Amino acid sequence: MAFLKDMAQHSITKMSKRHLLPGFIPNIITVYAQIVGPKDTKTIKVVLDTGASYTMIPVRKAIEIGYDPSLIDKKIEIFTASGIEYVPKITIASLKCLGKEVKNIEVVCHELPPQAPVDGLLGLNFLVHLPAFIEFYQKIRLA
Amino acid sequence: MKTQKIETIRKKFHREWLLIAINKMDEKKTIPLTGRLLAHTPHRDEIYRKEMKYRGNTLTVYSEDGLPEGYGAAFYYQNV
Repeated sequence: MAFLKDMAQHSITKMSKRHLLPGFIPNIITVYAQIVGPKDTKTIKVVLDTGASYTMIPVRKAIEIGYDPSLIDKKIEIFTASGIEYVPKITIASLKCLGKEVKNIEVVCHELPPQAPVDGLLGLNFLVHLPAFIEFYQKIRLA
Repeated sequence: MKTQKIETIRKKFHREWLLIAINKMDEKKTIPLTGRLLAHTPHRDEIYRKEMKYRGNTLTVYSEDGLPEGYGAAFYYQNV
């Protein structure tokens, strides 16, 4: 059986203006996401991140919707600006975003840096359920 | 605080985190349309603490879209 080690890295870096994308292209793509658990439903804003294997939500949001990430044994290794951290991976009842609902989806519980203007990341494990993303993926592979 | 469009509430603040009780959602697009402002603060941690007092579908959102001028972001995961 192949051994999979999940790694993540996220950083907010101060950049000079010449590195920024032209004004008509957003520097990040953000979308609303509804996370549903046994206790509650919460809505957050997340960055659409095609480089993330998993969707990431803040620990406090996981607690609010009815999960306790501190009790979870499944942990993945991520690299952050402050070093390597082991963060819990939980399965939430449902994640709704862009009109699509995915039930029993795994999410990583971790806080983004305080400078991030969003609560989390929308990763590939959700994006692969969107027809628009599947089409985009097929087209760039053929390009 | 009265019910307003989410985007109207966001435009009233500059670089602040907002806690909003959602009244109406566009379920087809998963976009909150209207809500009632419950709290606002420049600090994300503080808005999370305040949210713990409220049950139901609340939204936490930053007042600005995108990153501040002069900042870029890199987010990624990989399996090895």
